[in-house]
Amino acid sequence: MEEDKELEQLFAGYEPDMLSDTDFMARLEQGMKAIDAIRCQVADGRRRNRKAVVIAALTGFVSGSTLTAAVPYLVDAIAHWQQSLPASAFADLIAGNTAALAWAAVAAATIAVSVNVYELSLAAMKRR
Amino acid sequence: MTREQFISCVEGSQRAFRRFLTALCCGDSFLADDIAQESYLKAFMAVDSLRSPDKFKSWIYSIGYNTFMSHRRAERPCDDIDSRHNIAAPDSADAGFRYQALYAALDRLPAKERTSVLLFYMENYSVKEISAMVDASECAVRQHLSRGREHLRGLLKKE
Repeated sequence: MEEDKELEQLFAGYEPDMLSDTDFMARLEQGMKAIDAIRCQVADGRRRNRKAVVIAALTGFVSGSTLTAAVPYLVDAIAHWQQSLPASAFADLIAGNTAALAWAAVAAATIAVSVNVYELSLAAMKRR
Repeated sequence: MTREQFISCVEGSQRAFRRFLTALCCGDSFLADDIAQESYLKAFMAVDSLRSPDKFKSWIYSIGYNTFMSHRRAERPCDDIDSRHNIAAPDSADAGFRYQALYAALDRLPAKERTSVLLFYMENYSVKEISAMVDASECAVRQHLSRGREHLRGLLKKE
C-alpha cells in the first residue's frame, strides 16, 4: 500500500511540457469548423434531394394522369398499327394485348419523365 | 448538448486529458495532442449520443483510449536509429528528460496495463469506471492494475 502511494505521488506531480491550451483550442475550433462545413454540405445535399424527389413525384403524377386519359386513343393507335402489319404470330400477339401494351407504354413514359425531371431539377439546384 | 456547452466541457477537461495521453504515449506530446484532437472531433460528431453532460469526461477518456489503440494498431515499425543521427532535438527535450525513466518504464508496459495504471493513479478513476472506459470486465482491469503496478515498480527500481 505504501508503494501504491509512491505511484500516486509520482503521477500527482506529473506535469509534462505540452502545447499551450490556446493553440490546442484554436486547432480544435478549426477542426470543428471543418466538420460544421461538411455537415452543412450534407444537409444541403439532403434538402436538394428531397426537393428533387417532390418535383419528380408531382411531375410523374401529372404526366401519368395525362397519359392515362389518353389510353383509349393509344389503344386505337396500337390497333390501327397492328392492322397494318402482315398476318403473323407477332400481329396476333399484339391484337390480343393491345390494352396491356398501352398501359405499359404509359408506365414507361411516366417513369422516364419522372427520372429525367429528378436528374434535371437536382442539376439545376446544384448550379444555383 | 450545444456547441458552447461542448466547448466548455472541452476546456474543462483538455489539460488533464492531454496529460494522460502524453503519459500513455510515453512522452510523445505531439502524438498525444493529435490523439486528443481526433478524440474531441469524434466526440463533437457524436455529441448527440451523449445523454448526460456529466459523463463527458469519462466518455472522452473512453474515446481517447480507443483512438490510441487504433493508432497503435496502425503504427509502422520505426526507422533504424542510425538514420536519425542529425535530427535536432526540440528545446522541450531537456525539460522532458526529467520523466525519461518514467516514460521508459511506461513504454515497456503492455498498453492495457499502462492505461489502467494511468487512469487509476493519475486520473483517480475507480476500477468500475475504468472497466466501462476500456470495455473490459472489472476483474480484467484489476488484473491489469495489479500486473501493471508490479511491472512498473520493478522497472522504476531498475532505472
